[in-house]
Amino acid sequence: MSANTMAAGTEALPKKRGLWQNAWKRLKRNKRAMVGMYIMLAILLLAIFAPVIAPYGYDDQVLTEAFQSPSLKHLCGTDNFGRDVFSRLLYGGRISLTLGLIAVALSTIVGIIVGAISGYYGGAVDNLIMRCMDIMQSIPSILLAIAIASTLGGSMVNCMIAIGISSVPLNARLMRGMMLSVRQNEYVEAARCANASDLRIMFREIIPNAMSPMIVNMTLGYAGALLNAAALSFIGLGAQPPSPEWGAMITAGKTYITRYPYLITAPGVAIMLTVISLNLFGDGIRDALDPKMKQ
Amino acid sequence: MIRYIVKRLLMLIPVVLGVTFLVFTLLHFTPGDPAVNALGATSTEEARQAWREERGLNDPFFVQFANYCKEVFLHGNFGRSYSGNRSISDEIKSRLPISARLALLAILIDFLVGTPIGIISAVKRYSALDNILMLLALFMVSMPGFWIGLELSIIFALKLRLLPASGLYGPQYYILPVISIALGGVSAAARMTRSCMLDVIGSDYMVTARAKGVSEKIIILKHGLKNALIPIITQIGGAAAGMIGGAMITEIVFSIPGMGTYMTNAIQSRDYPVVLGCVVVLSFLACIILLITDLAYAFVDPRIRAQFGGGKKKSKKEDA
Repeated sequence: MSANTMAAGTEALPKKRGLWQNAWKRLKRNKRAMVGMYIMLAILLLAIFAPVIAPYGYDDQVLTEAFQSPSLKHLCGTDNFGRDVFSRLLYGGRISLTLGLIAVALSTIVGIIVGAISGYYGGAVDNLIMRCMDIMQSIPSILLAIAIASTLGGSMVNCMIAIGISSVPLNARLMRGMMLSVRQNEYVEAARCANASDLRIMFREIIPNAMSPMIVNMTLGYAGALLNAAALSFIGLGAQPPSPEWGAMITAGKTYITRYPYLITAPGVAIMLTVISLNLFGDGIRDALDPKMKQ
Repeated sequence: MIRYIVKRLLMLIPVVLGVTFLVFTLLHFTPGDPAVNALGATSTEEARQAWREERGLNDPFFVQFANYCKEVFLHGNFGRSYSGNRSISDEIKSRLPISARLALLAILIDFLVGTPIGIISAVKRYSALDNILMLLALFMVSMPGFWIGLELSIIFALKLRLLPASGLYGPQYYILPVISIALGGVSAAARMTRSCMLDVIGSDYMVTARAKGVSEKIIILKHGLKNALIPIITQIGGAAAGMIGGAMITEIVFSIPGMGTYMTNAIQSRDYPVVLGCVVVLSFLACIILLITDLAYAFVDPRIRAQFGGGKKKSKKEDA
């Protein structure tokens, strides 16, 4: 890895592309990862083209057709307002997937910045930041998210922020660790000799070479964010009821659980499938980027 | 060893204070007037003012925080709830044992069921059994815990009528909640154990042991597991601490009168002292679990024991 990345620092792209190409080649050989990727792609497409695919609108209420069991007309049945559950699932996918993505992007970006600063400067700065992270990490992430979300009030945006922030420490710690090891490389020293600024060294030399564990963490973190978002919705701190967000759909269906269990089964299965595919894909990327598997 | 325990206990203090400060600050800056929430929109301004004064809400932020810490850590008093003006400590005292019992049972199951599954999977790597077990584990970790709870109660309580689905009136009421809290953890433990075991199984000392003609059982359990146990314990400990949060949400599914239900009801009625108290207590519980994990780590790994048993050597906290 070091020979590869050392060259990448000075000659830039060609060799670096080699690293990712190798990883992709290994990933393609991993059947589970590919299955995960295809499921994920399918779910993404279904969500993106929801308006085209969905047989009904997500908020079309037909009260005379409430609580219909799954049939050909309504693939997943209808809910208490006679809304088509399948259509709501498709539209809900857009919300849930975006929510997870933004939460993960937020936590990754903040985590990278915090971790990079901590690892690069070391000393007192590092100590201060890492003790703060320790404190944040000693609160179970869902509890921290609950505390943040209840401060901000229950809504989609606040839910994203809460989930994003609550997983910052993990990313920061990871980035810091990578920073500490990548910082040792000769090309960083070379850049410093060339009088590159701290920022340039951080963002151009070190962070790109420290990205691989972050990417793994992003896919797995995406899965975790979806689960946490569902949990927040469930206690009323996420997307609010009329929204077809998957967690909110489970919450809404809970009232009718005794007679119409399919109302909670369908969105739950949707969450599960998405999380499974992300987990499979994430595990695959981890193996593909693992230096131990390189030979 | 005692020095180590004392040291770790002392290290808990700043963390717990920090957690309290973090959550206190968060909830302090919640928009909205608690007095209006507590007394209702029709209350007079004088009444609200008196209420704020009585609760010290007019004090500067840091004074409020200092008073809160003093009450909580010296007197174990979490204050009074906004709605109903009831003692939060009393509520927590009656609810915490229930939540703790649920969480501990679930953690125990994680460890006792998850680890053996992981070992079996690692030993029979790539066999049909391994594939099936790991596929099952993948499904289990990918479901929201509360949803597992809902589905289990549909199957076992509504359809089969075998087990009660809500409340807590006897041992059988624990079965479904504990299972739904534990399932995710069991799978996570199994997956972690498998990968830790696989890391170890390829190592030279395992080959050596095999070459010496040591029986397979001893190789796996004594040479393999003993070495793999260190990362396994760290990971399961971390997961167990995180599970406390999930357990809170599962409690709501089964209407268990524990911390989770208390906290969620408080969130819905914007009763922030209750939320604060619950988060602080639960985080403390999580810290204790992490502490126990660290101690177990020292117990299993003689190198760590030697490092801290010897006295003067400083602890080097390594971050992954």
